[in-house]
Parts: sequence; structure tokens; C-alpha cells
Amino acid sequence: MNAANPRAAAFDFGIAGTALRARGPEPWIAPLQTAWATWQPAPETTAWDVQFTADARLPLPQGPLFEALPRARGGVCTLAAPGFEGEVSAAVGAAHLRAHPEATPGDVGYFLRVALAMQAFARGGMLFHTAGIVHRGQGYALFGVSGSGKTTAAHLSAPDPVLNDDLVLLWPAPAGWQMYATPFGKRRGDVRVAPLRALLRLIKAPAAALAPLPAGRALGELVANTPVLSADALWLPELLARWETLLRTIPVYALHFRRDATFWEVIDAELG
Amino acid sequence: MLNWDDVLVTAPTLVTRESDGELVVVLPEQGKFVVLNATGARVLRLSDGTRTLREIADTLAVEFSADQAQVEADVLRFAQSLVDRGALHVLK
Repeated sequence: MNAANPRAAAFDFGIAGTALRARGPEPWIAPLQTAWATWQPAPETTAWDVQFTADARLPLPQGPLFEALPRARGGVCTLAAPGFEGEVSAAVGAAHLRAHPEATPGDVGYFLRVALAMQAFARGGMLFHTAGIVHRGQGYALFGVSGSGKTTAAHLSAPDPVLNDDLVLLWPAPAGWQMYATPFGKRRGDVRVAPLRALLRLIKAPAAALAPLPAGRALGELVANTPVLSADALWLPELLARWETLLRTIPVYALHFRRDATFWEVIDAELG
Repeated sequence: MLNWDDVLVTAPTLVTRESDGELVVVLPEQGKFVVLNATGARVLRLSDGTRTLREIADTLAVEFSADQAQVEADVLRFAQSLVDRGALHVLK
């Protein structure tokens, strides 16, 4: 940020039942306001205030904010790293990031993502590390550890819409769960939401196959792929319970897949 | 390395949940989890800060009517793995 006293700016951002109002220096806010202009909260949705403050007394950032490990306890998440001091409070319904002026809109976007994860959980949903793919009108969440093939699977699924190849928002619906797109990774197509049909744990293998995933392992994997919340010891029991609730209506499988689209044939045969 | 007189206790932030006969153990500070079978879950629960590792092995050998030497080897290896993952701490 070059200007000594940049103008203030603000914009609203939201997905499903979430809503955030970001306020701060224009050089940080304006790029996100433009990039996320179509991600508007639903009318009447109460927004959390997310304030960004430039503070030159902080040390120069040593890296992007996403490299800072979120520390969460009882619905309060702190992010601390050279050049950054941030806190998101679910109880207060607000968040504040002080950052060195050299921080970037990318850092601001990451902080909004953390706030969204907290707010989504507080309101009944979950931000989830997964490739969200819409196939024949149904949403499939292909998840796994880093390097398991989420982006590859999303690429191989063309021309099916990709809600996001890394992060989606799961939200409860009267019948089952909805999977919402987010702007936090790569997308394909304009589809923003689909009914969640299945959760598929990606495993690279010589041939495509669907296999049962033991309940305990599934639960552990799903919790571990729930960003921010999995770091909160006080909220973890509720997070585990919420995933168990979801698993009562949404099946989970291990999806063995190789680098071609044949995995959709086994999915269609079992779930289509 | 653990020794038989060590007293073990679960990490204070550890969160567990039973699921379909297994115990899901989540370590929030690491963002990691382990899934334990019934025997593993019993070792974790016996690690309450009041028993030595030897007492835990003795208890399991009785409860599971298993060979003492085999139980001791299994418990030592398993407890060490949980200590290495941060799920168990040695009480000083």
C-alpha cells in the first residue's frame, strides 16, 4: 500500500446464510470488492463486521497470512505472524486484522475466509476442503489430504461444473445438505449451488473403484478437512457431532481413481 | 523412549468421539486425527495420570486374557506412537 493515508472502503460479501462486511483501506478492499462483486449476502442476513487496519508499527510480513496457523479456542480464532495480528470472535460477531501496510489484498482475502469459516459454523454450515463437482445436477465432494488429487479430479471432470476445486460451503437444507461454490479457488461454469449427493475420499489407484470408508476414519478425515474449526478444542465436539449428523443422510466412500475420467463411471453405477 | 514406570496422561486439548465401534481422536493443535480400535481406545482411557505403563499393560493382559509378553510389547509400541503424535504425555 503506497498512499500514506488511503481512503476507506467497504463491501459486503456472503454465501448461503453467511454475511461479512469488510471495511478498511481502499487498496486492500477495492480489488476484493471487484473480484467478489457477485458474491452478495442474501437480504436480511446479519453481517459480521470485519475491520482491516494498516499499522506501520508492525514488522514487515515475512510471508503471506495463509502461512500463519490459526489458533482457535471457544469460537475465538487468532492469527498472528510477523506483520499481522488478527482475531475473529464468533461470540461478538466481529473480526479485526491489523496488518503492516505491505500486506496484500490476498492477505485480506484469506482473513475473510477465516471469518467466513467461523461464521458458517456458528450458523449451522461448514467450510470444507474439497473439490466440489456438479455431475448430472448432483453435488459430489471429492476430498483428501494435500496431493490426493482434488484439482486433478476437478480437471478430469470437464465439462461438469466445478463449484470450487479446493473449498466449498456446506449448508443444511430441509432435505439433506447443499454444497455452495466459493470464490476461494478455481471454478468452472456458473453453477453456485447443488444438492450434496456424496462425499468421496480420493485415493490414487491403478483402477477406478468405490469402496466403503470406515465410519471412524471418515469422521476423522472430514474433521481434519474442516479449516479453522478443526483447530478449536472447545468447538471440536460440536464439529464432530455436525459431521455425524451430515453422515446420517449423505454417504461417504473411498474413491480409488486414476488420471482419467473413468471414476465417474463407477460413481454413476453406484450413485447415479 | 518410554519406560515401564512412566505415568501417561492424555493431551489436555485432545478430543475424542466414538463412532461405529472405533474411537476418533482429534489433535486440534496439529489438525490431525487417529482412529483407535477397542484395545487402543482402552489404552488411551487407562492413561489417566494414575497408572504406570506397566500397570496399563497388566490391566490389558487381564481384561483381554492375552499373553503378557505380547501385550507388553504391543502396549509399549502403541503408547510410544501416541506420545510421538502428541496424544499422550508423560507425567513428570
